[in-house]
Amino acid sequence: MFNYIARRILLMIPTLVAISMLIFFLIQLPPGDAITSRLAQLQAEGSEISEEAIAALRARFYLDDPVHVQYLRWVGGFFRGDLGYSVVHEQPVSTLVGDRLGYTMLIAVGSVLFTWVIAFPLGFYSAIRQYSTSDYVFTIFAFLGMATPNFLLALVLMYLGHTYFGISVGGLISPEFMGQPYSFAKLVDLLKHIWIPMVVVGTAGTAGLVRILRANLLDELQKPYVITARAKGLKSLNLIFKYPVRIAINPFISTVGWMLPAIFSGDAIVGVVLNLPTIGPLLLESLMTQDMYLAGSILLIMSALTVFGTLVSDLLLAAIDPRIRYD
Amino acid sequence: MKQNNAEMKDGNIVEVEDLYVRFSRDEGILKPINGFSFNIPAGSSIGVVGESGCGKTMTAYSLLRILPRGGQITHGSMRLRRKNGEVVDLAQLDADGEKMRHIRGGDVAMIFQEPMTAFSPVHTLYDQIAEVLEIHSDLSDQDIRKRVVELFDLVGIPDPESRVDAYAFEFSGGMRQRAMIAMALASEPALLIADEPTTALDVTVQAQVLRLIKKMQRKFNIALMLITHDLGVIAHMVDYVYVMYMGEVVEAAPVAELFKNPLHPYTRDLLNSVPKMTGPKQELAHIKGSVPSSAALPPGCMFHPRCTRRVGEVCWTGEPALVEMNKNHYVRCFIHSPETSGMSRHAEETEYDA
Repeated sequence: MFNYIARRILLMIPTLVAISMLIFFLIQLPPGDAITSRLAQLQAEGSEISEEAIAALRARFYLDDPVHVQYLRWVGGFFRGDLGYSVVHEQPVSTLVGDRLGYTMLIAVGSVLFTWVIAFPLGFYSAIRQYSTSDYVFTIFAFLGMATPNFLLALVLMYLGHTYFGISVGGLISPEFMGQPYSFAKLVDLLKHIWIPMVVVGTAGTAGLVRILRANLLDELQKPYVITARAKGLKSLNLIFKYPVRIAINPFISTVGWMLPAIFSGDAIVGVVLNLPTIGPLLLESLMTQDMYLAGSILLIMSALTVFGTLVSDLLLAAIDPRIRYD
Repeated sequence: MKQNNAEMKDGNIVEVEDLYVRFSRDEGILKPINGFSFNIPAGSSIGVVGESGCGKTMTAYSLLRILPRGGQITHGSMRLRRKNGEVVDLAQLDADGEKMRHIRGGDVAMIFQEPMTAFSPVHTLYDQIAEVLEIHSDLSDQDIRKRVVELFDLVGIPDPESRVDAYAFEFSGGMRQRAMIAMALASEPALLIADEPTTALDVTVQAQVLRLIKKMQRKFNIALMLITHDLGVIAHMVDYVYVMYMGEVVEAAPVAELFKNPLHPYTRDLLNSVPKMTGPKQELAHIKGSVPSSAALPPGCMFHPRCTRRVGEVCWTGEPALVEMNKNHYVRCFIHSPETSGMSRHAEETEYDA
């Protein structure tokens, strides 16, 4: 087991190196760079910038260095805690990301909890009452949930929230609380807004997990060890929780793997539609403006979290399932 | 639900009478058990023999009241003398009720066919065996531990102190089945049901496991019901044999008598299909056709479509009665007795909530 963990951690190093190269290569691919797109933007607004100023900017961001030197400088910065500098925002990437991290994590953790709390009972009940009316109702909702695009659901919920609950559309905080210090009223206002992104981000995952848990549990309920356990005189609910659920639960553990990157970045499209101060929209914008260090750093952090999250979920799976542990 | 403290013959531990089991399925009503009756005298062993699909396993599940979803006991009684002397009709008990749960695993234990899949892959063997004692005894945790180690030792698993904490997949097939036997013995049951206990095992360990079951049965004076399709297994294991076909007894006899003087064509066919190790080489006999679906029971004698020794029209128009030919040797066949069973087996069912 120790060897397994050590091997997995060592393997993360080449994986991350390869990912960082790929990311840097990809964000260099489009013609032009952050400065040219910034200039185009400024010229469109009618501002004039002198040749010297442009050259100074290019020098400041080392845009004329060879690509591999730029790459090494960027990657080297990570070891010093320097995530680079956003050309467009003219702020360090760490500040931009840090400002938005709190809300991003709040929404992501909230939506994962929402997913688990809703998916477990629905999937469980669907399986032990297969082909009952409730099973069919849950199934219809699960398919609807999986098939509805998140942005559409966001729009519908925004409409409903505005029309029936009088919540200001978009954002996490009503305009009157903007820039105010934290207070109880502000917290209540936040809670009024935050359920919409939580539901939107969580719905597709919930629907998928309901179906997976139902299918897994139905498989497990047929297994001979369930008959053995019944023949021992166990109460049926105790039995289902101790044996088949224990094995059918694996997909819930696996969600931890993609949970970490999701917690960091949030859902970009939903963030844009709902005007959320999360990292997702920031990433989208940085890609469109070719803000290479901002985009690259966000992507690299997400990749690192994906790799790390996968490791965590694999270790958790090994902890609960001896068949994996003894492999 | 009424609790009838029915009378039982003194020496018997189980008396099953005229048992019918029905399954409602989309494709129709399955009729796996059709008036099956048998007795098990205390401390003795019986064999239930027949091909797959004859209702053997469903009989065991009926006794434990763990029929799969849709299964129902529609007629008959299953009297059991519990360890405390109480006589209960299992057919009348609530399958999920307190009493039935204490009987399951406590008074009646079962050994399953496939020890790999019959144990949970993610729980240790100790966890699963200790559970029986947690449900059916008042032992403390330390005493349970001691008892499980003792049981492992008893069934011949080497190094029991450390092996109890293993997972099923760390054991060989034979050792797994020994652990299964230890689990079944944990609560000192009055009746042990072994459903094809050696079918999934290597030939080399089959005999060891059978010998172990026999030894434990004698040691603890447990009544044994051995379910198998293999007449070769039965010979040294049981006192009395019921040959089952489509959910009813076609022949029943003491084991020596059955081998010496098989009367029913089905029994003869079964005996002929056991490979012989001596004598001239010959093609292995088999029974033509296969067991029909229990959704549509054949009219008349249920074996007539596959029988090679039909006597005439009566075979598909009349239902033969089970008749005692010699002492304790019963057969249901028109070759031996023209008697028909008084009532049609289909008319006998009276529906009640199982």
